[in-house]
Amino acid sequence: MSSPFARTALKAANLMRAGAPSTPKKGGGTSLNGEPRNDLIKKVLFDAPPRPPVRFSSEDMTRHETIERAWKLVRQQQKQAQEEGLAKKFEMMRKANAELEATSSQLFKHSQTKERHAVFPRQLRTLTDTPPKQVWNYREPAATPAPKA
Amino acid sequence: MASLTRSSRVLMGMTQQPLRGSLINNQIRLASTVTATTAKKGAATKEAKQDDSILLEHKGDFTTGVSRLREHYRNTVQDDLMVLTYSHTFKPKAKIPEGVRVELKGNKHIKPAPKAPSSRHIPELVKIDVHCMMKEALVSKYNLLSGFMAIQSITGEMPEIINSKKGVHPWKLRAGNPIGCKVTLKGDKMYQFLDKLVEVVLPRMKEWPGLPESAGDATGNIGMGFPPSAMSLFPEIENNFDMFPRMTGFDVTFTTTANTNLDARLLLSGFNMPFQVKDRSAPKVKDAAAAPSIESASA
Repeated sequence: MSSPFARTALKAANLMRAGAPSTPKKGGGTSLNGEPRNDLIKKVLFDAPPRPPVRFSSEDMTRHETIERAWKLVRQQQKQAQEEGLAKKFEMMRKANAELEATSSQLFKHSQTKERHAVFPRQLRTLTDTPPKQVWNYREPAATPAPKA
Repeated sequence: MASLTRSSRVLMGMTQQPLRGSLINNQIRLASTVTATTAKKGAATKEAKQDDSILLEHKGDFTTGVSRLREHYRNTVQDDLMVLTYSHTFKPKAKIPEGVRVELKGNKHIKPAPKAPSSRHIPELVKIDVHCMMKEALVSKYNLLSGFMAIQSITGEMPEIINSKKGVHPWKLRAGNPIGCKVTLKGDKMYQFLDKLVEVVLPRMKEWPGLPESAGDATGNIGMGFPPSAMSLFPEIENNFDMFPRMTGFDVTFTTTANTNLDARLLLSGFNMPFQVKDRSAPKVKDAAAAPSIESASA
C-alpha cells in the first residue's frame, strides 16, 4: 500500500527515536527533556502495540466491495441530482438578469452592484437534530448592517 | 445486515474520526509481517483457510454518516452563494501568452483569472490547514511532542513535522531543525473541525470580536491565528489538560474555491463564522427636537 501518508508515522517515529537513550535508566523510565509526560506521549504515538490486521475471506471481500460500490452509487446519484437542480436555478437566474438588462439599464446596474462587506446573518444557524439550550437570543440586536443609501 | 462478518461490522461501526491511515497502515504492516512468520503448523485445511483470506487495505475513512456542515452547505449555503456571487456583466480577462513577463507597479501580483460564473463554479471549502510552530523545539525536539499530540487530538489526523528551511543564528535556529507541525484536513474531517471551532471554541474565547471585515488574501483564502489559551478550549484537550506539557498557539487556514475576499467571507459566514460587522447606516440627525427613533434607542 503506497499511500503518500504512509511514511509520516515512520518519519516522525524515527525523528523522535533518534537521540533518545537506548538503554533505560535504572530506577525509573527515561523522561525526555526532563518531562515524563513527553515519554508517555512518545509511547502512545509511536510505540503503540500493533493492531491485528483485518482479514477477509473472498466472499466477505465481495460483500464489502459490493457495499462500497452501492454507497458510492448512492452518493453519485445524490450529487447528480444536486448539480442538475443548481444548473436549472442558474439558468433561470441568468434569464432573469438578461431580461432586466433589456428592460431597464438603471435597475440592472443597481442589481449588479454588490456590497463589499456582505456576510450571512449570524442568525443563520446550522440545522441540528435537537434544539439548542437558548433557542433565541433576545438580548443581542440583529447584526445585519443597514442597506447602503 | 446479518450477512456481514464481525470484522466488516466493526469497520462499518467505526467512529466519525478514526485515526488516520498512516498510523494504522504502519501498525497493520508490522502486524502482518509478525503473523506471516508465526504461521501455525496445524492442519492443512487451517493453513489453506489462512492462505485464502485477503488482507483488507485501509483505504480512506469508512464513514457512512452524514456530515452536518456539508449538508448545510449543500442545502442552504450553496444556492444562496450562487445567487450572491453571480455577476451578469462578466468579461474574461485577456490571457497572458506563454513566456511573457508582466510586471505590475508597486510589488503587486497578478491574480489568477476568475472563471465565468456557472453553476459549477460556486465558492466551496476545499481544505483546512492547521499549523503550529513551537519555539521550545529549538531547545529540544521532544518539546514538539506536546503540540504534535494536541493537533492530532484536535483534528483526528496525524500531523506532519515541519523542518526549518533556513537557519537564523540570532534565534539559535539551524536549517533542517524540526520546528512545527502541520496537518491538512479535507472532507468529513474538515467539516467536523470547522464545526468544533464554530460551535465550541470560538464562543468560549474571551473578547474575540470575530474575524476582521477585511479578512482574506484576495484569492479566496482566509487565515486566522489562535493563542495558546484557545487550544485548551477544545473538548479533546480540556478533558485531559494535564497530560499536555505545553499549550501552543496555532493557525488555521481555510482554502476555498472563491475568487475574491467577499466570496470567501460569504462562504465562511454561511458556516456561522462570526465576522466583525460595522454599522454603515446613514448618519443619524442630531436634532434635539426630533423624536427618539427606534434605532437610536437600541444603539
